[in-house]
Amino acid sequence: MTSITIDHNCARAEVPLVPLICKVKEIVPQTSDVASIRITSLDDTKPFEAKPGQTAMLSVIPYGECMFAVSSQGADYLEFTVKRVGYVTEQLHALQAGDQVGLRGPYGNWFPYEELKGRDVLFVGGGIGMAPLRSLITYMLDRRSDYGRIDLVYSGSTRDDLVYYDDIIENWPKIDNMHVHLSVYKGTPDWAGEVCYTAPFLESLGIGSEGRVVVLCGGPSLFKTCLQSLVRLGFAESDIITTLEMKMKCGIGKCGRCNIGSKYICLDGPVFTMEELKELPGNVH
Amino acid sequence: MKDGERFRCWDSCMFSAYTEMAGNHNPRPTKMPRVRQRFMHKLCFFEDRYGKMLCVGCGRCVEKCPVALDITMLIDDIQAVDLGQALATEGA
Repeated sequence: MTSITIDHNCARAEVPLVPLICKVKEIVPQTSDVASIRITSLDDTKPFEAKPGQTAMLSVIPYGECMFAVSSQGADYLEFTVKRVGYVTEQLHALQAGDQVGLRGPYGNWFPYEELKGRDVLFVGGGIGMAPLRSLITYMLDRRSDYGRIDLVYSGSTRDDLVYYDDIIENWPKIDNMHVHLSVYKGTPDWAGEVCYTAPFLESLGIGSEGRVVVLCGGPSLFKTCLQSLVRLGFAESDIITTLEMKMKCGIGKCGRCNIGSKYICLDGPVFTMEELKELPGNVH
Repeated sequence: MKDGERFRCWDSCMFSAYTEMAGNHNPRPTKMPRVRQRFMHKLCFFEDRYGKMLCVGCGRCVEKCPVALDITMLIDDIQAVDLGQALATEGA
């Protein structure tokens, strides 16, 4: 098996500092604090094409702007799945269909979807980590025959915190050669599945490392524990791909917040293999 | 929006809120990583990336520092530290 190589410093928006004024097409609530916000341009066309894993800067005028992964795309919209955790995301959740927002992008590199062709892929995610993973999952499902077996190991705090519930419960398990493994951290009476943290759950599934590539996205503790589990399961660090778009602030390498050593997540990333990240000084998260 | 106001304020990579994210996670939560980022960026990270050092050696920061924090002394101190040992302790 050839090892995965990822392009870096390969994508810059043509006019990265001028936001394109767009409007909210629809807001789809996912959980109590997560919603998918669909953005379309003022003339009802798609603002731009984004590759799986690419990000864009969404600004709520005049409150501020944040970088989000494009979680999926439709014929005339880009969808951003956003968790309400701070000042700007609070304002984003308060938007109504038809409200105007600023959008600039696409930024960053992308998941190596060409190199993954023919490979088995294991997705590991937790909570809102589903947002960037979903862009690649939907891309692969649209071209199902190009890819091997797909496994999704996904966890949330409780049953009500699982994002894209309909897809992970109803739609995706029915797809040929796709296996969805779900767990929650805290069981409730309406949850019949596993109650387990992601890392031990991942180890209990008996998914082999032979020829398989992992795409990992989650919070700092999930990231750390699952990484250890994946190494124990025999995965090579060059076959573990992750995205660090949550660290990005300005998106153009000026502000000095996202960097790990001399690598800027916004200019070189956000998609890296673990092999590349372990060469950097300091902690990943 | 028809009108607005330009608001600018001071910020510094040495403040804890500089890298703090929504949701309270902070990649550089203590003084140690922040000081390291400041000096490493000035003398190493920027040079690695763009081929130039961010210090021209004018000595103004040494002369004007209100708490007499001399960057040259800091560099000497860092050189005296066993790097392998320090990194091993930090990782623990």
